Amino acid sequence: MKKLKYLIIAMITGFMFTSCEKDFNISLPDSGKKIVVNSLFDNTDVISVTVTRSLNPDGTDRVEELKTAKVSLYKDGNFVEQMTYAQSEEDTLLGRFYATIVPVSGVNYKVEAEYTGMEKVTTQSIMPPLVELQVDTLRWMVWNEPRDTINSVRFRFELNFKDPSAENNKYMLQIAAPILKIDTIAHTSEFYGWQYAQILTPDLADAQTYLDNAVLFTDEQFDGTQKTVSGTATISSYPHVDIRPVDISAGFYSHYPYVVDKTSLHFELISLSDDAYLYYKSVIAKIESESDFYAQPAVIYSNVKNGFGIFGAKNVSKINKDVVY
Amino acid sequence: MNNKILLFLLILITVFPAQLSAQNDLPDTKLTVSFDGITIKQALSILEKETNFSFAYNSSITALNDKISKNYKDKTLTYILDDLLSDKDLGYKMIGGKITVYNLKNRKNKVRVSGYIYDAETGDVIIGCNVYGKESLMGTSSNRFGFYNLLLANDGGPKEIVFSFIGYKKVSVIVSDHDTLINVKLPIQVNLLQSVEIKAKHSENIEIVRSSAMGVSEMSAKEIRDIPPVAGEVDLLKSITVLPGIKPGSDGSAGFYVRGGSIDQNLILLDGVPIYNPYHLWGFLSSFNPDAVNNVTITKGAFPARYGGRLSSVVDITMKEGNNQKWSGDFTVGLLSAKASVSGPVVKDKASIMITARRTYADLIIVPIRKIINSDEGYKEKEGYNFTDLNLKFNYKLSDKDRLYVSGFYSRDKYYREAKDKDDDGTVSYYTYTGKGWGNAIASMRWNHLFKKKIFVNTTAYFSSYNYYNKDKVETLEVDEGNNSEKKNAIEYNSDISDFSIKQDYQFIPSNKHNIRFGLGGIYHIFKPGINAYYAKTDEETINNKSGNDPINTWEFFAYAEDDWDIARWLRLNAGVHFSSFLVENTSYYSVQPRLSVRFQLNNRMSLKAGYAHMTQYVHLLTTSGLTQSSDLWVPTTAGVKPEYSRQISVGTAMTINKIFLLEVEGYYKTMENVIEYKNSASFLEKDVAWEDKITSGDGTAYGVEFFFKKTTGKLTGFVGYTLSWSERLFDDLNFGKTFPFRYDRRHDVSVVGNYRFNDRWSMNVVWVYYTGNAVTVPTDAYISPDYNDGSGIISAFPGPNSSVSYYYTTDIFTNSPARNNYRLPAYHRLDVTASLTKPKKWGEWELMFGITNLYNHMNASYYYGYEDIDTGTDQITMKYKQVTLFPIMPTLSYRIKF
Repeated sequence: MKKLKYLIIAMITGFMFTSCEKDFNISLPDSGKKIVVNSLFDNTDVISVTVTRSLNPDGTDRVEELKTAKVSLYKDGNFVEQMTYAQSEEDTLLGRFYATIVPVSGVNYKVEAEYTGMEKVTTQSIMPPLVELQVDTLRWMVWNEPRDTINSVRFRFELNFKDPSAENNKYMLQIAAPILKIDTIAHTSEFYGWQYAQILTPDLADAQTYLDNAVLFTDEQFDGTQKTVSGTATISSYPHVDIRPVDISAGFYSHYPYVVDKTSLHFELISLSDDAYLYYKSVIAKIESESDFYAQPAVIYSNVKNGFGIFGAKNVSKINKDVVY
Repeated sequence: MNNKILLFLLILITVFPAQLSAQNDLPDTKLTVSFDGITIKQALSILEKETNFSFAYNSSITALNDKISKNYKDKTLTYILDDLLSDKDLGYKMIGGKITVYNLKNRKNKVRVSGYIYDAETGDVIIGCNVYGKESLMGTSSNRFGFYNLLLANDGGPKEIVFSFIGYKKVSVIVSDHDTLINVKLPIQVNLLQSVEIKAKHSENIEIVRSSAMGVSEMSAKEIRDIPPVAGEVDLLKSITVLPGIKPGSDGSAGFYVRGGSIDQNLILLDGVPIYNPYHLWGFLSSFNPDAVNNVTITKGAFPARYGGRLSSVVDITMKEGNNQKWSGDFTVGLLSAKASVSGPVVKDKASIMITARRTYADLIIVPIRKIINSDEGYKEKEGYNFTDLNLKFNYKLSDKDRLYVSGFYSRDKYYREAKDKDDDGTVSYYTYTGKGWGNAIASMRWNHLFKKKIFVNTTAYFSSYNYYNKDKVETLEVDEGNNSEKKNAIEYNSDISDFSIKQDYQFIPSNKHNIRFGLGGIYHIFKPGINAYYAKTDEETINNKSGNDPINTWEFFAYAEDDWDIARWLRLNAGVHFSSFLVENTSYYSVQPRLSVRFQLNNRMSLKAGYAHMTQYVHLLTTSGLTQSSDLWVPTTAGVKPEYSRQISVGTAMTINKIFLLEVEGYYKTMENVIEYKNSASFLEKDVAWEDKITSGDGTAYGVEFFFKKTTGKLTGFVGYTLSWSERLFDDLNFGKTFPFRYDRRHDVSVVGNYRFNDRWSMNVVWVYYTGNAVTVPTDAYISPDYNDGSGIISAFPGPNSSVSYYYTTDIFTNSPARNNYRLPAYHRLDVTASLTKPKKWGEWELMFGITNLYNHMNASYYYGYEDIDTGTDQITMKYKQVTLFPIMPTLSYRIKF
């Protein structure tokens, strides 16, 4: 009985020093390096892709382009050409493999990429139909703040388009204002790039915001019909970018080298292939899940067989509209 | 003689050895007698003197007054009686040492014997007690209320009925040729002979072989206690997870998974009342006090029609009744909690009450200590956690045909943290309170009634609710130049499900070949799946609003009928149908669910079985990515969320080997439709999004084979269970419409349970479990995105000509999982050992149980998480993953006294 008593005391004492939680590193499986092919090509340019090597998930290595990869382009199953790697720094497609053809609607484009010592990858996507966009109304919204605030500006818009009768069409809507780079000495400006707007479209039932600069939606609610979309777009300023109205010709100088030209807005209605749509949706889910410990994990969509990346087709309908003040 | 007295003599309760006299076991001694012009009655008196046998008969039998003249030389008693009685339509039988003469004319073809069976010492009903006719061997067993109903062929004479159950002395009862209602008490068998034990256990195994039921396991209170406890806490729901086909969740999470189903697909019934979340301590323990449990039956497939509402299993827990003979109780203290139970007669043999209670005690010690440590002059803080559960059961025998039960169950977990800061003048300047709690409350009333001795009816009315709350409160008081500025902030989150129900279940045995059950009922559900209340008060304004999901009220109705039919000695089937309907938000759903199980008896020791069940489920539990939380929401089927369906086919065999082993092998294939999951990136924390918009539905498939090999007698008993299984899901909205493994798709699952009884005082229990690790989603690759910039680490303030990167979010590099649940955590295995020392005393007995959980300290993963590891020298950031183990090696200790 005495021995039993000592045993019990030893056990209770041991319990006091026993941790309830232990941390151990788990080793992830090494799936080997794979070819990554990325391209969200559209009707405004030739088809081009980036070809790189996949990375360690722990972030211990750097991005490596596979400049000597053999990349082949097919159109509806027929070989078209070997894609060329753009090496010149003056080339706008620097770092990409490019073809000489501009994609057209209804065609299935396929890319094969090979690299020594790595498994060949293939990917394909069908170019969706072009959907012509018409912007009916564009009006600057008066706010409480003075017009010359540098924070942001807001527009009200109304646009419409005819949805093709084919089922399950997917879209992305983007609105942007041109950014001008100002030469303060010569008093000139040149186009530099786009400042994308945040868009609110309450009449698109399944709309999702993509990275604060686009809206994803489908034709589930209006399949095959004429659709009018109305909403508001907000252009926000960033450091070094001014949104105040600038009259360069009058000699008024901005404090900043870049300004947003508020005199016109650029609208894009982009028809997405299924792959491109799934990719964008999965990016939205991944960003949301990473900010919440309890959120369901999200998987980035990839349609590259034996590899990673996204090869998705987009058909862009663009229109510029002057702003009414 | 008076008929009533004769009837009393005929109905005897005696204890006989198994070799009690059989019918007509008369000696072959030759007799020479003459009967000359005397009555048969007088002839019997002469035979009594010649043979030393006594005769008994009903004096109303007129044929006994007939005169006879016969001579017998060197004839046996059997011959003489046959000759005397047969042409008078009289029969005779040796029962209880007497030869009973009875009338063969005008008798009913069948005689029904029914009643209740009790433990003679405690008054508890005995479930599953075997009852059979000694001569006919026709038999039955007592139901979950201890009620039996046996129909025997009537040859006109008295019959001997035998009652037997392992651990109790066998009892024989002699009944007349009329329908009889008789209650029986079985005394406990002390020092059971091994041969008797083997025979009794073998009978139990034979019953399993003969039964048409499939996928059914039963555990008695003793068998539950034979599974080594964790931290000294014997646990019912943890114990059943060692059975094949039943998989536990991760350590520290609640729930269990049966044949590929999720945790909400298990119907847990406490005396017929469903419980929604019966777990304490975030799933570490169940809310059921094992000292209050009589028996638990787990059904995994081929569900009889009387069960419905869930897809994967039914865990039917029967509580003890309470001791209606004398007051008794026990008290146990373990490392986590203390529990006590008391039961006794309110009116002896008529009414009894049982009360059990359990509470953690650590907070009672730790909270005051922490309060002292964490408190300062003016500042006081306290933090604690505790759980409580209470059971109350009162039963009253209104008459031989009526019994009334009133039960209550309450469980509550509570975590709180409170801090208060006072100024020098004693004014509270700062106050904060955080609290979380969850629990169940049940109240039920049951009435058992026997119609015309043949139809047993159970009527139940109950209320059952589960509630979770989360409170955060902050109050500040600032005094500035004599002006007080008070601010208050409080957020409270509640979710709730409540049921009000009434139902009736009938059991009718029209013949020995049919055991018919039917019933109906209705449930009114009130769902409150997450409501936020926000209160804020400042000097300028007061805000008081509520948001979240609206309450949903629904009606559910069901009816069923089933027949357990003994078609032939080699063929038995249980066939039935369960019908249910669900009304919600102007939408109604109906479901007709056929059920069938068939048993082919190949020989006395072996049978083949097959079963089919269609199940429908109208309530769902939203759980977060396998981390089952008390805050998980119970939600109903709605107009937008369809009911879940399953169809399961099972095939198997059961056999006894050498009288001490039982082997069951069962294969199953199950399909599930409309199972729900959270969408990608959805989170239960998103309180402004309706729950219906966070979920998506899809299909599931599960199949596998289960092996169960059990040794039932001897010093060493136990079993080995092995399950080989697959379980997968297919959702249009998840994993891009491709099939992915269910999180608990554990390919191999092994349990080895052993109990060794050294002697009457010492015993040892060992459990070793092994199962394949869970399937989780882990990024195993990384690659650049289409939006990759130059990798310089500087995010452009605005996009370049060919880029569309937004300033606030970077998607340069994806760490990605190729698919959902793409990675297997390491296998889980653990060895638990306990030893038990029991010492009888004059007042009762005490028991000391001690042991070790996870004896070889295997670090099993409960969950994993990713983190960024920064090298302080190089600033290199590396992504790493860690697993958290909740149960390393731990002692188990409990002390129990029983009186």
